[in-house]
Amino acid sequence: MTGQRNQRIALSLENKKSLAGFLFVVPALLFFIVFLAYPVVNAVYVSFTDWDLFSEMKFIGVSNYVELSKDPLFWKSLAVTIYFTVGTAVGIWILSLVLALLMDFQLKFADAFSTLYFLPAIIPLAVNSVVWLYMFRRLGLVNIILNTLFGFTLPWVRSSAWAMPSIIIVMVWTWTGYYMMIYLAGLKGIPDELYEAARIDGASWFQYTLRITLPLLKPIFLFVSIISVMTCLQAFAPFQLMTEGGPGDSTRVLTFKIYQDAFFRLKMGRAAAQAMVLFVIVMAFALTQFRLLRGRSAYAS
Amino acid sequence: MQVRSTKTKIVLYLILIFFALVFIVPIFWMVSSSFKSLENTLTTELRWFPEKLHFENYTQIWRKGNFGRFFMNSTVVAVVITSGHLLLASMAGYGLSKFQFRGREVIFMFILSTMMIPFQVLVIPLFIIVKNFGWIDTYTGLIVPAILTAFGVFLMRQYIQTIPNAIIDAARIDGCKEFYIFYRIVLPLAKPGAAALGILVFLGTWNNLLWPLVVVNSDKLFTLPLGLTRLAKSEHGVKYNELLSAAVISSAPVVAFFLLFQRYYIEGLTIGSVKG
Repeated sequence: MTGQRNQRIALSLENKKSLAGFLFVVPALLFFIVFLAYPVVNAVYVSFTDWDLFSEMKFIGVSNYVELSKDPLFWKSLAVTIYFTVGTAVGIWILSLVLALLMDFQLKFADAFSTLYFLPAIIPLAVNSVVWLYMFRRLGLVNIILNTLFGFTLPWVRSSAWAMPSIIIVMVWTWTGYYMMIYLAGLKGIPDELYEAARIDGASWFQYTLRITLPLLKPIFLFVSIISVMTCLQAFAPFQLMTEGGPGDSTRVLTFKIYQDAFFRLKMGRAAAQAMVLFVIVMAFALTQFRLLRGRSAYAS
Repeated sequence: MQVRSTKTKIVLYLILIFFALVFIVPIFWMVSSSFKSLENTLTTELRWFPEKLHFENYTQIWRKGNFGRFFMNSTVVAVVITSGHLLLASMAGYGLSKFQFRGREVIFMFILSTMMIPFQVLVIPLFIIVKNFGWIDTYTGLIVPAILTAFGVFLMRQYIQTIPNAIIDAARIDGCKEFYIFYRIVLPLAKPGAAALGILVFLGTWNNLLWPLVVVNSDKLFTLPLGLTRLAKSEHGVKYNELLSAAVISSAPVVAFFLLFQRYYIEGLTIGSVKG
């Protein structure tokens, strides 16, 4: 009798505890339903409509997507997005790895240098954008230095050929220190004895780096490559502040085009359809990441 | 690894110094030019230092340029979002890691799956929701849709999972109420994780341009990035000295905090990568 009663009390306590646990999760759950799940579904729906935000929403099926596929501006925007993403990501990968390897020599003041390199990453991108906008003027600091050292100047953000490289420079400058820190954290995990052993075997620094360091950094590189690509695909501030998509359409990346189509041209359906394209691209990268990271943890265990 | 030859060391230092210049000169140039007179920001001669410190650029931008107000807005929004985020993420993280209930794994996977959604997908529907709630051009509209991220829940769940169950159970046997246990025992123990997350969220919010751009119309709700955007696009010609003093104002707090709490920053910013 008493045993049964105790069991019942224990069960109800257990239930009470479950309920408490659930209640802790409820606010977050509600948030994700209202501000993420519902909007995603809604965005899919809007992408099938013709809507200017004020008049009645008109369901038009896949017309937005069909129109996009025929719209040279959309393809141009996609190309420009890829140009920007590849340019920035590759720049970041190379520079951040080189800097991390330099830091790994454990010279005096290395910490102070790495702090300096990291600084741009914590300054708001809007600030970095206006500072570089100022430096990229026709008679700005960059051209003054170029002219003094090499005797030529470049048109930077005012020319359709140079506008994108200008923004890539700003982004690489901003983010390199951050990714360097991530590489450094990875490098710290490689034991010094490995290097000592390689040195005793007569291996040079280049051989050691090529054969031991870089292969061991592979999982970190995977993380860096995918996060940097995803960050680039979603970058917005430098385009808004430095070029507004111009000159021409030379820097009208998808994120900026979506913003303009939605909130200036009030083509909500068309903007949502483009957002879906961006979504698919980002998803593809994210899933690759999960796959590769899962492979990595299986390897580690 | 250690370098022994002096020659190599000198070469390495030269490279380090070169990059230090690349990273520091633009920041120095921003600060220096923010104190210059307007003519001096437009000169073609290379003048590293202002001829005289024009503090009036700052007072001008702070008062007439309304950056005092924008600064306050940015601070309020970032502080409220950071606190709200930490509270909600810790609660959810606690519930998802230390309790058994039906649907727990499903809820966790659902939350995680929202992590990959780019903001551009959400921006139109969020704008509609906020409009329907009557939150356009309000602090509520700026804050609520940005108050939580899946990454935050994930991070706090991973962190709280490492807290020993014995401590929590002991408190429960002592008859403590569940929320008391969370607030008085779990939260303090989760502080290092929360600190790292808090820094990330604060920086992200301080940095954010797109959402404020969409949801704010009137001056009195402008955040710093919005203020910078307007100055940079000023139709009557950009006053670079004032624009740059606004830039200094916008970055000074985050840089100062960074220099004070460097260790936490680097931990916070790299937390998702190596440990994740």
